[in-house]
Amino acid sequence: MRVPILGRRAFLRGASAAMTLPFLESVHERLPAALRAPPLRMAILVMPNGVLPSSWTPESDGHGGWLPSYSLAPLAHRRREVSILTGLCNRQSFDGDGHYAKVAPLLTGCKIRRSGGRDLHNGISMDQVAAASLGRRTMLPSLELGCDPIYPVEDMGYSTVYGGNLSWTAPDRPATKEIVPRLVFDRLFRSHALQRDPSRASVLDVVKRDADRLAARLGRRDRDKLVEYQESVRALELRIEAAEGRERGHADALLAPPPGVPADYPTHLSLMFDLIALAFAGDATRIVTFLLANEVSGRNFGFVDGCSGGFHEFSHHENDEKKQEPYRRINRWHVAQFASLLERLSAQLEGEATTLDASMLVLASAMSDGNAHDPHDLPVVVAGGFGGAIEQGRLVASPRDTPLCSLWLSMLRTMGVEAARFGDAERGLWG
Amino acid sequence: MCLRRKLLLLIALLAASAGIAQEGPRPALPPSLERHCAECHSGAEAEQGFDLAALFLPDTSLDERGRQQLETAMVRIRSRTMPPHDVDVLPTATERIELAAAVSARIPVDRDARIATIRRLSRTEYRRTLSDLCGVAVPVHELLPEDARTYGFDNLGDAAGVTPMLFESYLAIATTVAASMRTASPPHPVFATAIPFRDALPPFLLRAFRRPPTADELRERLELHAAALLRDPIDGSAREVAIRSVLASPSFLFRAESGEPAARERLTAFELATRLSYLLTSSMPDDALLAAAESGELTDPAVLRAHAVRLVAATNGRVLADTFAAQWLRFVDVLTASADFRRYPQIWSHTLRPALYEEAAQLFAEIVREDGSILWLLDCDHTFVDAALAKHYGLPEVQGEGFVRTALPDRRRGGILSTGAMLMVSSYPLRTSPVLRGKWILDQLLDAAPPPPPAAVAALPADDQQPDGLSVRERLERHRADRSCASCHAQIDPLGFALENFDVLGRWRDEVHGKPVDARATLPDGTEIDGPIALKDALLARKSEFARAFAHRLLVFAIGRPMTTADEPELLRIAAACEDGEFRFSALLSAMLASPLFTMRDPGGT
Repeated sequence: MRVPILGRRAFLRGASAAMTLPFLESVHERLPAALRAPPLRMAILVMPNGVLPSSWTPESDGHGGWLPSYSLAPLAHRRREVSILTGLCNRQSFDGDGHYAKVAPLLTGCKIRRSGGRDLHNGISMDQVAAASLGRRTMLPSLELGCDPIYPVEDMGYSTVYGGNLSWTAPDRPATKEIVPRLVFDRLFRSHALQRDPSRASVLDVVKRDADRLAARLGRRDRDKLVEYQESVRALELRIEAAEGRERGHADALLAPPPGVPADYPTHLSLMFDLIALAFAGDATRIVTFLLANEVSGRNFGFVDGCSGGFHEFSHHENDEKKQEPYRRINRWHVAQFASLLERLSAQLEGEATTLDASMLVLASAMSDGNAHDPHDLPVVVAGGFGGAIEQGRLVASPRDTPLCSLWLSMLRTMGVEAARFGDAERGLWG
Repeated sequence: MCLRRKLLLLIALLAASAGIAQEGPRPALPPSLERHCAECHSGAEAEQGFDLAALFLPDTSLDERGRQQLETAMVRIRSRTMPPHDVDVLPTATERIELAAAVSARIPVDRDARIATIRRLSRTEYRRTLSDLCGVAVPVHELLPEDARTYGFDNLGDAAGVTPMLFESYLAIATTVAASMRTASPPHPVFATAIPFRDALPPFLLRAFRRPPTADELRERLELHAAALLRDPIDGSAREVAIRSVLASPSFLFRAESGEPAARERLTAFELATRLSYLLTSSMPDDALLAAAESGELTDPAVLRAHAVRLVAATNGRVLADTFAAQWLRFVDVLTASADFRRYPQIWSHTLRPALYEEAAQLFAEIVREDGSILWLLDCDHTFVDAALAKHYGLPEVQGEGFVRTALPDRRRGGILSTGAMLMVSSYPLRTSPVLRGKWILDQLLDAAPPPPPAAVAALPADDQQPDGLSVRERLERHRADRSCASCHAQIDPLGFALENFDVLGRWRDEVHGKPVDARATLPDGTEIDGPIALKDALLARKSEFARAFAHRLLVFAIGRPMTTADEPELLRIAAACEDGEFRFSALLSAMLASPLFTMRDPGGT
């Protein structure tokens, strides 16, 4: 029997119509049942500056579930699809001072080297481990999103680069995040122009040989940089290969976000969420990380009632209720944004299920109480179907200082990545 | 050797390593240290337990603690806090350089610590280079992600990598630019149909790679052109293919320094041309510079200096202001700085922040352009304002359009410290911050940044209007009652307090929320200051340190790596030359261009 291959055009049309029409119903019905299960995706969202624990940590409902706390209230109506994890920590972040030393190793589970920029050292983040293993199945192996450019100041002797990047493809190399919605959109749909270009392959061959020639004359640090260059060329080649065999698609121009960085933060986040939904719908990538703002963000949340002032200053609340109040309101606002991403993904139908059902979503922060840069009992929310691997709606209280990496390890395995261990975790939270 | 002698030797060694005073004369220190430091800092009774003699024992290596002690000594020497002011004979500037050299010679430096990492063009450099090379203006800032700043600047190589996303963008831009070059009227010379491609390509490659291309680099591109012609016999589109391979090449996108083949520690003349050009113009070397590199005459210091003068004149100093100074003095950050719009409704004006930036940029550019004194940054009798900014500052009315040089009525304003740009980037949305302002002065102007605060120290309230009515000063004074905080804040806060008459937006104020401004402060050396004029005088008294800080930052920007202790003597030499040249910008620049730090790929190499 000939198995029909879903054309890219069909996928994209489905994606662009998703705002108004049920997703892909007509195409989907023609598929054999085995192919109907949508692929599993994951998105990890990280908020800066920690949370106010007393307003965050939920009570148990007595049956294994959770009762919404002040900050988690925006997820109350989705309590059955969301679980709250407590007791997790990232041991490798205990020693480093300041914020950057907490966020850079969040997804790597490695200790970072204190450096202003020379000889950076971190590990490989779990999303990039997944991308290396599964990324060839999609046009983009992974997508790294953010809203802030790298801040211009070091933190406690740690490079600006540590503070602005969650995803690391190599110990000395972050997968630079994209902050401009329009550029993300272009990236999701640009490979078609390259595919049509008959000289592309030979041009790439020449520039790769340029890199070889150059590297032969240079020292160690320089050669490392040229390896990055060559790997980037290779990534493009792989991506075009992945796009081959799919029909040439077109993106609805009406969907394209405006150029530049949106002036206001809520709009910016909202556009990024649309793009995540679009990327998942079109199967352009299955792996997303999103640093909602850089660590030490001093953003003025004046658009949230009673929160005029700097976020970072509020996070150092000195147990003063007048500062705790805006701090927890900002926490809650972030949770509400996460809830809005769930809304989008649950509105997107994929056969009988929704994109949310076929996703593993995480909302976390690299510290718990921002006042003390507390690295214990990190705030972690998980949502979505998780491929049926976990039962949702639970309050999962792990023993104190259970490795956060055990969550990453389990997620990797659920995605289908074979991993014996990750970071300081040899056992997963599940599986 | 008999057993007894062995035993004696062992005892002597043990005594030495334990820092026990030995009988007989101790080994001599380097002469400069012997002269200025040894009296207090040698032997078991050394001041502060800092025993130079123990650290300079022959045939012993330095441990980590010793290394830290010597690094601290280096800071003391350069900041002129050692030797103390009450000694009989203070070292001259030259002697200070000798002191620094003697100390730095003892501190081991990693073998490649003084070699810059290959530098990818920053966004600004890429944009300006494309414009000069291809004649095409590309809105690069909308197409590429912002570069991370390392050691203060966005054009260093260490943290600037290439990601798949970035490479894709480069390739897409290369495609668009090549097409624009071909369709321009007239077309770019490399697309001129009258010239065969094999003749048009070599000069283009020389300019794009900022060095002569190798035979392979040239041949492969001619082959690309030929292969494209076979597929589609249109010469112009075949040339586009080859040009794309140039603009996406690492030899175009990176500034590589491999050194002379026979002497790797020395830059080639082309690499020197590239360093100079990107320093002063943030773009590729122009034809005159490339010609001087090709003939080799650029390695003559006088020729190098002459080209520098020419490039400064060609750019009016403005490029250096927008690239180097905007990051060093952080006025680039005013463009994105935020103030609370309820408290400071002026922030709604779209022109305010660009105007604050413009003032600071023009102040700096004037020093470069007019070859003024770098001390004008500390104190100046004029500034640059347009009508709206004059009104904002409460200065006499300015007529006409645009920015004009305006004499200031008194010394309260003048210099970088009274620019709204500096004052705003060192404030919070709802209040000024003496701490941020003090730290800005220490870090940017004196190169003496205090260590970061320990974690879990509470920040002060975000707003200076609090129910308890305490002022920011009162809160800070409370904070300083804690001894662990006091040692640093005693240096930081007074500098910031002296600027309290300037509000978040840089306007003069005599009152804060109904209370008179208190701009009095006591500097760590006991000097009482009150307000910005006294602060400026205090900084002018440290002008040598300022010259060194300027030279330090300019070198990091120019050569693309952080300075090490081994570079300190050269830094002090450059600062001293600047001082000898009445602090003129040209004196600093000339000294820097003549320094091995600038002309060598590896100044520590042999």
